[in-house]
Amino acid sequence: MSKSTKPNVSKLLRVLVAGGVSLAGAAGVAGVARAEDKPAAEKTEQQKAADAAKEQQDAKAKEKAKAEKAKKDAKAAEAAGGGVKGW
Amino acid sequence: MSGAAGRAPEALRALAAAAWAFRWQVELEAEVRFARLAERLGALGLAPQLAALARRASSDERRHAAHCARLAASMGRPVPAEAPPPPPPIAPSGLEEEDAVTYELTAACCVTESVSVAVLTALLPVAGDAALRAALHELAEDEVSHARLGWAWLAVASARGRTAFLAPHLPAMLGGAADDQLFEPVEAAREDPALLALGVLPQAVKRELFVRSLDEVIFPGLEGAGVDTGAGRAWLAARRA
Repeated sequence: MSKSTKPNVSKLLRVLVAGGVSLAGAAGVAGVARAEDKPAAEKTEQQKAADAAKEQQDAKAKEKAKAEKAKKDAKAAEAAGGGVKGW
Repeated sequence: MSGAAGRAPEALRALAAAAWAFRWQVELEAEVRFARLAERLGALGLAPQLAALARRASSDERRHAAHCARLAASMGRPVPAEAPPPPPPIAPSGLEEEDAVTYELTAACCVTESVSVAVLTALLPVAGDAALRAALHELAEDEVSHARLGWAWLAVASARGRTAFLAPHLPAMLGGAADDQLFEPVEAAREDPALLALGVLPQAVKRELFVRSLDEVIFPGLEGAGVDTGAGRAWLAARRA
């Protein structure tokens, strides 16, 4: 291959991947992270008890959902996806 | 017929014309794919700016298709009057909508558009005439933006902890992106360096660029977004063996 047909691929990494990541930052990814990091407000004892019960319920539901998702993921991995032809 | 195409031997011109006609089809399919992705991104509502970028990409691709059609015709192969059928969805069945969008953007943008940028960057300095060079330059600028759309969405998905599922799908995604004969020996004409002046990479150069783009851009980018690239790297190693 002639020298002129060898683009600087590492430079492409910076231009494409890093450029995309900063674009995502501008599009609000940082905002998503900030929303999740907000501290919870002070709670009463009653609220805490209700929260604990809800947490237990949620944990069970999460377990169930996790098992279902694992099954689904396994099936999805089996079903082959495709790719996109380009230049 | 004028410029580099007019000076090229008939066999090479036919090969180049076929490549440009194929690119016309690829660009029209991309127009439809990006339009669909714009709608799906809009419906997800996670990054409205990226939905707008996908809409713009769709109209870019229509313009690119016109360039490809013109170049194919200038080399003696007018494209069909009718557009190709819309491309089928490529995400594996069973994925939730958000993950299916991530799959499609990863395949279309992080992989295919990133490789396209590498190809266009390689072709630009060796284009045989000013008209071809101008078209390649316009396409390269747009494809950078299209590739970034994918990497931007992948950063969004990564921040939401929803990228790891891609790992086992990489071989199918890469297999679908690679030219069917990319890793096989081809007829001598397809390795002729004179193809470069017509905007087409000789097969060995194309193969090397594909491999380097994966090794140096796409795999590191995916890993940075939390995707295990082991299966993808194994797929590539098997092709190169």
